[in-house]
Amino acid sequence: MNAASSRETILTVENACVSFPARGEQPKEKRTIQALDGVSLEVSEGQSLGIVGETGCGKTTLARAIVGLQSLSAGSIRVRGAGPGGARRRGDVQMVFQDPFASLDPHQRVRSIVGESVTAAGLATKREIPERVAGLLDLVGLSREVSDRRATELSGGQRQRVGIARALASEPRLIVCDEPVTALDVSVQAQIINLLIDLRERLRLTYVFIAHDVAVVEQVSERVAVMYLGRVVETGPVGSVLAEPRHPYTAALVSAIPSIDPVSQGLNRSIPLAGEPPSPIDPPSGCRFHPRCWLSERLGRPASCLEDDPRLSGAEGSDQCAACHFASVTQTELAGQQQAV
Amino acid sequence: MAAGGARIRGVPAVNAPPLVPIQPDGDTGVNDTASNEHLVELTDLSVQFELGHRTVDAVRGVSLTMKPGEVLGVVGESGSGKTVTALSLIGLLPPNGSLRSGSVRFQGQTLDQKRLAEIRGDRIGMVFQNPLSSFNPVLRVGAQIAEVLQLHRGMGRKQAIEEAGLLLVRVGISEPQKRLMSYPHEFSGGMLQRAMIAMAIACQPALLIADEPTTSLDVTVQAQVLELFAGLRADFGMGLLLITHNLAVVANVADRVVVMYAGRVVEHGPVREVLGSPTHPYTAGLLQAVPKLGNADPLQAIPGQPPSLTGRVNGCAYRTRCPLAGPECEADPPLRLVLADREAACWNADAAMLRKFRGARE
Repeated sequence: MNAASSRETILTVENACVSFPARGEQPKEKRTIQALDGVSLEVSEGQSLGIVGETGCGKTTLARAIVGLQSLSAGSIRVRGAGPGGARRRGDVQMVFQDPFASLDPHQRVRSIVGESVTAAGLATKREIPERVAGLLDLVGLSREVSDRRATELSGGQRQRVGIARALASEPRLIVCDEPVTALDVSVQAQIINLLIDLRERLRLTYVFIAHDVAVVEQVSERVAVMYLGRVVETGPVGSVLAEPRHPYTAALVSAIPSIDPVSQGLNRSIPLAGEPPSPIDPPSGCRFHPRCWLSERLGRPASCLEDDPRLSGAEGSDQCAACHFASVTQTELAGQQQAV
Repeated sequence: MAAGGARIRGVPAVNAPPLVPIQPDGDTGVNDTASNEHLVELTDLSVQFELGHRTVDAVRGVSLTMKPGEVLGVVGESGSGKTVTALSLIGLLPPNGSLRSGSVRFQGQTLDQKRLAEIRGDRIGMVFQNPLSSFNPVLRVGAQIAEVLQLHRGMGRKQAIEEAGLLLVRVGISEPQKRLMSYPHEFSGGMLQRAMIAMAIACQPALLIADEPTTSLDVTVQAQVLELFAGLRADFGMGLLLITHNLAVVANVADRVVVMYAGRVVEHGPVREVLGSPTHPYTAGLLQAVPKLGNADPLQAIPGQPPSLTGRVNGCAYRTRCPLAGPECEADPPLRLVLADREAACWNADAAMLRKFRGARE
């Protein structure tokens, strides 16, 4: 390994596919839901990749596949671990869950919740465990008195801190955060976001950060992947993807977010996104987004949208990639669309 | 009032047939109120909950008013008392909650339990956070919407189902005939929330109470629901009491906003002014703690957590987390007028506070 500045790839997802059996319209008819359909991603060490998208786009399935809770039907997921030659060691990948009320045993005491994780990682002898637990609680900003409490006696923010301490116990390299602040109150959300940012810097962690709140993702991540119906439709540096999206879906998603700024009052969203995502049992032909796509409509529904499945590709010299045949004109058409509305 | 006789227009996106007015004016049993009169007047509401052998003061002396057709946003964190306030307004407190004080006037009438039962679902509609748990899972959606019309409008079953179909179209659900026959679990979250709204507006209420109506929805669907609210308001002058923790939603929809903390109203005023230049340190803190799109500056979190409301809260409930707290905060600050049309419950809420917040933003 070279200096810390040379960022090696920690996570490589290649053409990951996950399908679930589903009931068809007719009794006994068997169909499959393609929850992930050829997702490829890379995350470098110390980086944080945000994943955004609507309900049912496959965000959580991807998270579960990365930590190994969900097996792939095709493709591969590789994690460069801390072991010799980058071998993946048990505990190299950890997860922070969405609901801190459901993900902790309500009757277990905090020291045993975190201690269990320390024991499982095999990183401390029995005698060292209390000290390890105290250190971990300290790391996540919990006072030592908390270690004797049960999960039910803690507030939402405290529980999420315990969940983070538990994930850190095995000294992971990669942490998958699945909507870690969604269940928290606004004033507590910021504390946890700041804690996660701080921990990443201090412990050189790598995050895959899943959230439906795009502003939260922007806060935590350098790069972002936008998912739609089991596919990544756009990926790139978070600032440019959100400010100048190349995929019409990203543009619509960003424009649907209400702004808190009282100056830009009124429902100023300019891009209509009709209906809800179609069923992944029977995805649309060609580009999966075409039935809801404002850009395709503006361009007079070109045949390529209906027939050809666009691949993720970027403009020359840019690492912002979009899966759209007309990604190059999204920005100019967007300006026209906004004037028209 | 405008609501009774107004024809409902279709949403632009959907080609909806216009609904026939359900009933002419005057049959609602409520006299038309002058436009300057309050739609809702809630005075000095206090609610206590029994939890085992502990008591929780969930709401401590909340007063609020709404004009007809107005959108009032109520924001606050969980446990701030915003939902309990709304439930008390319509007499739906859970059995372990008790009203310690307070009175509600709706369209100039004092509401008692009997009157409330007539008004709920008729003059006052309700939309709750989780639509899946608000519907009966074993009844068809159409029958559940129709029930409201059968009960309050005395319609026959067939007519009520027909009317329910038109309501589904009004809220932007396509294929209403098919959807009327569906069960709640066959709907997606966004669609079920629309069905819930269809049920709530079935009798063209003068007031719609929406408790976190978009919290469980995607932003794209949230935008559609908010647009639907705006359309309903424009179409038949419906007042909306919007309860949410999402400041951006309030900023986009509400005329006025009430900020609640620990069972109290801590700030109140026109939404633009309150969110643009808050006078209460809690409001200011919240605004700085929310991630904003296109601004990746580090968030300024509010330290600590909301107080537990078991036992008495002495003095200002926010003082343990407040950067401006001083000895004066040991005494309970009353909600007072700090600027024209602006109220805040803070001893330090004044122009100095305002300048401080503006300075921090620049």
